[in-house]
Amino acid sequence: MVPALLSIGTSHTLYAQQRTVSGKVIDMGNTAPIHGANIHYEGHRKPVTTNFSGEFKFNPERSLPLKLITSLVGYENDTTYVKDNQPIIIRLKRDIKKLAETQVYGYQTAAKTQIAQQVNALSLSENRNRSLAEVLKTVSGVQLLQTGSTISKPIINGLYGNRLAILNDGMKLESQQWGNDHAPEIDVYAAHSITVVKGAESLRYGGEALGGAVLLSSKPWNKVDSLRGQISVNGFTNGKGMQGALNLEGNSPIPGLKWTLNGNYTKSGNRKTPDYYLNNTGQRIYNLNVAVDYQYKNANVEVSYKQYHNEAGILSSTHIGDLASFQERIAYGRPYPSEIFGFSYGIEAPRQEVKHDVLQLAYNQQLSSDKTLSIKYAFQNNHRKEYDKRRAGRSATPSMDMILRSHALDVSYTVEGIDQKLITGLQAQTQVNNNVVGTFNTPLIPNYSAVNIGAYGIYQWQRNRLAYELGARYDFKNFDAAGYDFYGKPYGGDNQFHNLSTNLGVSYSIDNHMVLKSNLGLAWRAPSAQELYSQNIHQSTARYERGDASLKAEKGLKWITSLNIHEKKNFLNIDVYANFINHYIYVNPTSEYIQNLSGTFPIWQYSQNNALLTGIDIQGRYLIKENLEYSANSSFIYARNLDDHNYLPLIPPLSYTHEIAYLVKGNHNWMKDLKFALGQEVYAKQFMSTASMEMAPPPPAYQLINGSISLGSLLGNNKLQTRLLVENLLNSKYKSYTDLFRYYSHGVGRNVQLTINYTF
Amino acid sequence: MKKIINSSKLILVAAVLLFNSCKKDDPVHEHDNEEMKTMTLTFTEKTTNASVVVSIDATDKETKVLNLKKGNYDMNLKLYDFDGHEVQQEIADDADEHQFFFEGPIQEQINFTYLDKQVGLQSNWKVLQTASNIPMKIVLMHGLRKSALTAADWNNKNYQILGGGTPDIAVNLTLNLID
Repeated sequence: MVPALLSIGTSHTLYAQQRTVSGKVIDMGNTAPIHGANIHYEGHRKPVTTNFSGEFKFNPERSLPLKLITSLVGYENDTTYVKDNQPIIIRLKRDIKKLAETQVYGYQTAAKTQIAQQVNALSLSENRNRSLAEVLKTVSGVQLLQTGSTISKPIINGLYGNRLAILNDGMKLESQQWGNDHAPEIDVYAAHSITVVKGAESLRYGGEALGGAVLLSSKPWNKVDSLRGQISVNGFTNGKGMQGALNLEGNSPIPGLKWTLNGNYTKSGNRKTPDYYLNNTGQRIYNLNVAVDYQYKNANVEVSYKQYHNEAGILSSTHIGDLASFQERIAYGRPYPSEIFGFSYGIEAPRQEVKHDVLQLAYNQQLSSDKTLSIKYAFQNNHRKEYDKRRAGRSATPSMDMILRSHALDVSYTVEGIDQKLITGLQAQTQVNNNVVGTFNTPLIPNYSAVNIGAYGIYQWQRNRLAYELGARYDFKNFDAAGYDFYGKPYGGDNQFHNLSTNLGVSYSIDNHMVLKSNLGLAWRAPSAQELYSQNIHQSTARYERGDASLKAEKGLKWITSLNIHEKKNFLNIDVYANFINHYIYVNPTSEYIQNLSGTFPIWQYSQNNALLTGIDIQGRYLIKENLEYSANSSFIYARNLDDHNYLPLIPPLSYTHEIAYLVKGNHNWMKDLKFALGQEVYAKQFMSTASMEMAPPPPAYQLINGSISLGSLLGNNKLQTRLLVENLLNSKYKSYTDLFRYYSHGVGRNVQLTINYTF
Repeated sequence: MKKIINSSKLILVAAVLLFNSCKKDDPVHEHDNEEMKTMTLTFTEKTTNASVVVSIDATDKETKVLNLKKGNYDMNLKLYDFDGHEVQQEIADDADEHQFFFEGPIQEQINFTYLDKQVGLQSNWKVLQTASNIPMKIVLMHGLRKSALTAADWNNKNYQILGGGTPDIAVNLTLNLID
């Protein structure tokens, strides 16, 4: 464990009579100044933050002596008493557990070059009952790729699915993300914080981080100090949904041994648009998360198990048949009257059922004051079953039944000096995907086994206001696939992919309120099994998708620059990026058709071209008055196929989301905080689309109005948070361009939701 | 250094375990019971016992032609999967959610009667008029709400609007009604 250091900045004088406290915060191990540490005094929660030189200064409202509390992720909290007018130096001691937490992200707090945005803590606590994609929507540059009302995945800067890495406590989620209708198997209740990294992140997270990464982190163990918990109940009108969640955490009689337990259950029925019910859109979700941590001297071992289970009905009117039926359906634009049955909790075929288990082991060892070793292992079992309407009782037999098993090992070794750091790592992963025999249906993708090995080195250093990062990574992937097509003809093969990724990042603190960051990263992604070998009719889009076994790996070069301006509660964040992707893989219509007894289907072929995605994300908050704040975020993307001179499909249109909130502080236990908020979401029509690439023209622009009232109360010493939310207040009828079911139905109508969280 | 050596051993053991557990299963050809390969319609003239057979196969490249002389026919429809097994009994067993539609000819040309539970595997066709080159679409709908449809809807092109469901079969042929 690194020793802590507290020193006094000699150039700063504290004058008790003027009640000015100033000083400097430095690292106990290497005496480097610490930027971004939060300091507050007892009885006053509003912290001040150290500048890039580690300095701070404030005028307390109370007279001396004061008890100063200093905190920062990656360090132990420090308590210092200021008794006289002497200037102070605070020496922060590194925390092995907090260090483990930051290593979850693959970088530590000193790595300032990464362009990332964390989901606001309040927003996360208010939206834990939602899917990961819906929670991430509050971050600028993140939008939803929906498959109807219950299935969604995040789109970050125009990329989604296999082009994003999702890391849960430092290990990548390994599931069937090749399918647009496959939502990430993530339980948001288990996440203490969620961060969206927008740079090309192959360097730290390997292939599939071409568009960025989503990092979920459980509650840091150092914050688990006694038996505590939270009970959440939630009810919503659209779908007559109900949800319950229980979180528990505590110590054990064995010193250093701590535990957490979380479970939640959700049940909902058919959703409703402003005009009609969406048949067969019920959902059942149940999740369990258990973790145990043991800390001994300078090491800790953590064992965790997560189980995610989701059963979702698929809108029954989306199974169309042939092209002629599909075109009739697009012209009609909503379910036929014969397909609208009213409300039901029932889930029938077509439906999907996913179970995802993760067993994770982590070992962190502080080898010396400047050297850290971290070893993580994860086993993931992803079992996906999809059921279709079939004959002769076969609707109860899945038409697609796949089990994906992954083992992953991640070893990293960090050496840190006064103003520089070297992180080296080795990542190895094996994957086996098998189709369960007995579906009486030709599998959508073949059986395959894959091995990925990656080695990387990242060097970071800091000079005053400037921080730099330079890194390189080599990856090797072997992909061995075998299957039989519809006619019993074998297909597959052994493919090898290699790649060298590099990254250069710079961060410049213009002053204490402005930071400019820029990142240039090379990243890559090997083609998925579906892209290589698909040869199936997709009933919901009435098209035959044909893979191409000769596809090469995608290689991306992403440049992103971010300006962050912050002053107290106000902030403005502007991200500008350009992502050039060589061999971008997409599915392209051909002039060929395939005909069988089910009808005639156009053939769409997996192809690759050079593509450019460029855009801007803006997010900000402004305190108009002490109790009145305005927040907004907006994103714009321009995405082009550079070879065919087409626009790329499924790119979110220009969006603008904003909210005005009125905050009231109360003096009664039943009302400590009260917040009224009124928000608007505006989505433009996607004008930048190419007709030949679209199954139907992009829908018109639309807006949604949302309103909420949140009440914070105290029950004894325990906190009670109640929130009433109304989404789509005006019950507007709309279709989202990035909803794959927009051909068949409208988006969901008004939803009133009541959430109660009791923390004890 | 000792810590690093111990850790290295741990990593080595983990890596061996990791790579020994990564072989895919040998694939198995799933006999696709859902897809149908061939549909055969046998029309038997009730007075002469003469038969007209038209067979439509998934591998057909051209639209088949069906020539029916004026007369009174019982039509028997058979379906075969890709293994050559007859599968029409599966349709008959789920009669409450299957129905054939014959979109194209009009009632003045053909007097049509379902001879089963309004499924269409057995039907009676009385050819009343002559007509050439009638584009006919034969559709087998699955999972439709049959209570919303009647036997008179045998050629109603709005079958899906009325009853919903998904087409299991949707094939085109050219119908000639001749003297």
